[in-house]
Amino acid sequence: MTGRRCRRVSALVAVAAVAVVVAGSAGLALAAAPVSSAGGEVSHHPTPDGDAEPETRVVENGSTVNANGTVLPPGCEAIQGERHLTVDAGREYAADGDAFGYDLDSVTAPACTRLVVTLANHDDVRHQWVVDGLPIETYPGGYVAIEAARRGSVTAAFVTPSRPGTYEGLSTLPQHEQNGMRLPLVVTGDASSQPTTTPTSDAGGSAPGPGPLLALLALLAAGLLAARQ
Amino acid sequence: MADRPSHARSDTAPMPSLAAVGTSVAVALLVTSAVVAGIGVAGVGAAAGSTASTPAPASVAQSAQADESVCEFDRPSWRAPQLVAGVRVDAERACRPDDPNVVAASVLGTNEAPAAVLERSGLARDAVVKGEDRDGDGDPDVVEVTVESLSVNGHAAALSRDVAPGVTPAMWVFAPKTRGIVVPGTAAGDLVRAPSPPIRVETGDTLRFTVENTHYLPQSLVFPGVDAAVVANGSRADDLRALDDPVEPGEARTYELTPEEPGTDAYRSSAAGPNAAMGLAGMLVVVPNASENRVQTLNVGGGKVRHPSEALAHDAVYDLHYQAIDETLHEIPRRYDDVRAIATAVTRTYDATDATPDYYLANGRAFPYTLRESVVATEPNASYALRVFNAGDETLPLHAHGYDLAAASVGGDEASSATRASDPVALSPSERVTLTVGTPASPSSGAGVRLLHDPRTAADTTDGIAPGGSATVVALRDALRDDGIPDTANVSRYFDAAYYTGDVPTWRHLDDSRLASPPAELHPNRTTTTADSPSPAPAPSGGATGLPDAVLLLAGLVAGGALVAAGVAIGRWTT
Repeated sequence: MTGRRCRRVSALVAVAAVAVVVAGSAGLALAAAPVSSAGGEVSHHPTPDGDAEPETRVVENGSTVNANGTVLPPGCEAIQGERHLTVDAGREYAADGDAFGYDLDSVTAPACTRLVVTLANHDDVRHQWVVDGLPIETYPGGYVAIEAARRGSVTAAFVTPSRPGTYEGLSTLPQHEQNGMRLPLVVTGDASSQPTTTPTSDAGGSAPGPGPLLALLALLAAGLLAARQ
Repeated sequence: MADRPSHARSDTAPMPSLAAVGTSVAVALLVTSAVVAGIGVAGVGAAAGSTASTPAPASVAQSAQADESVCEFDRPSWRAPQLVAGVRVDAERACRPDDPNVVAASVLGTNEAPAAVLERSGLARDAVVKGEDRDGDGDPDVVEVTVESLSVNGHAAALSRDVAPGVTPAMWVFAPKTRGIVVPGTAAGDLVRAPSPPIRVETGDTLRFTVENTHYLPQSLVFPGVDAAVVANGSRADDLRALDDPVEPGEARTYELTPEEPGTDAYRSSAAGPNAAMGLAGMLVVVPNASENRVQTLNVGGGKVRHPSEALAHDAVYDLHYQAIDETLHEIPRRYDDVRAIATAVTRTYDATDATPDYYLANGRAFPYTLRESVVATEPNASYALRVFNAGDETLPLHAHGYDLAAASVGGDEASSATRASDPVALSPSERVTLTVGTPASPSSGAGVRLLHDPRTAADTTDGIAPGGSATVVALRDALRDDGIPDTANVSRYFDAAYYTGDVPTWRHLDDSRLASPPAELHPNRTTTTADSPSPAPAPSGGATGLPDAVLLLAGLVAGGALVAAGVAIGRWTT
């Protein structure tokens, strides 16, 4: 075997090795994808035909969904305390370029705390504050909603989850979130022994890309070739 | 709630997964690498092209068709005639009938409907409030209706409403006031749709019509065709004053009127700007006063009035609301989440004098989705009334193949002249008319499924692709499947977003070898034919990944070349 032929064969071997690596990493990505999507904590939907039935209560001047001031979310051993909060909502709180808004940028509360929220509607249309991403074991559909159907207030309580993190808060009326009505709930502290993660919508990890594995296998191929020589 | 960020509808084209894309790229790399190593760079292009031109397996083609079934609906019991809280709800044969709970609550009034019915309907307690019986004829004569002005298919919209497969123009609507979260899959979410709902009252009823402006731009209302004075928040309505004093976001305004003449009137936004063109207009139907006549105040959805107070002269009544949509205008709210940007774009950047419709809708849908909701299902020897509203800015010619249409005077209630089957009835912009359709005594002498449509070439398309537009059908009952879809032809190929993006040739299902696109156009790498099956469903460009084939090929070439170079370099370095 001449040196030229040897180099040609070496190149082919390297190419084949790297190609196998590419295929392998793609396979890993394919296998990991369902894990990633299934790993998302919140996948239920508040439909009448869903696995869980959100509990709606019609109250004076509005309604609440999944209001619960007593049942402990998973990971909470006891209610750690109680906090009262008023959220003002309406056009007067809109930032420039928005249509509506809340008077707060975020709501912060410790884990496993009973939060008694009064939503004060300053408009003649309805407003909501909906907190999403909550444990579905306690909150069917994974959310709590407070709606003031017209000018006035509606009060509801719920227990914050055990896991610290930022939970999405918004109005679900079409384009209200996009036009200013965003008010996240930030849960702080460690009120349980459960591991804490931030349940954001993109949580759950992602499949490893082919780049690192590709580089690793290329190095391996080079090492083999060197050893062969 | 949890799926609010994604809101994947089962009837929309699936997005390719990251893993699938990665796999495709990897396969392309593998193939290209092998080809390069084996036959040299000169052969790559031909080899890769040859590989990509391999016909898609039948299963892949069929999966594209299965993106959306013709009739996906999980509540078939809604189609049956039924009694809901004592309210008779007629049968509706359509694939997606209106919710019987909404019908019942609209008849009883949301203030009198049982809590369970109201809960299932999604309506707010003050959506339809029925009050005093002033004339003592056994039905309410004071009706309070509250609607919310809303945006559908806006910027990063959670609530997406396809008007045709894959077609989601932004629209503004007056929607019945609902309660609770407004997301897909909820009763409230189902009620937020185009068109703005037809509203029914009796002559002599006092209608208190409240608009709660939850929209981001100002609104105001006028009532074309109404013969009575309109009072707004206690003052006589003035169209010019309304320009300076519209209903601003966060505000509400009540319009009070007492129509005395029966007919098909309208309500529409008169605020400066293209509000009505965006969808802020609806029918106001005034039926003759009668005893014990609780009308179905709201008719949300496909058109059939399932509790027809006016059925004395007809076997069924349908409301048909026609719109013509300029894609340029309706794309604007999708682009911005800044109110100032939208306001500027729709009133300054967009020039209404340049408007050209791209989408023609009947009851908020274009063909083939009209087949799911607005089919006029007929029996032999029967009569049907069609209340038609032309909400577009162009004249609407309308005719039904094989049926005589009897047209009433403008907005009137009584048919006055018969129109030959071949003659369209023309409605001016904003015009309303009542048409009647009679069916022959013998089913054999009538047609099975006939088009009810605007015959203009453009109006039979969706953004230029036919069949589309506002066409629906008049169909004999026997010509409909159990799920309400006409059974005389296979229309499944049109329930595919790829068809309306132009990726599926019009007649490919008949003869792919002769009637599909030439290889270099729509499918540059597809040079062989596969379609011998009765209902082939061509895969969209890019196959399962959704990526253009050219991108995959180029990526494969580049990556393959890089791999070869790396291999050669390694080999040289080690020797």
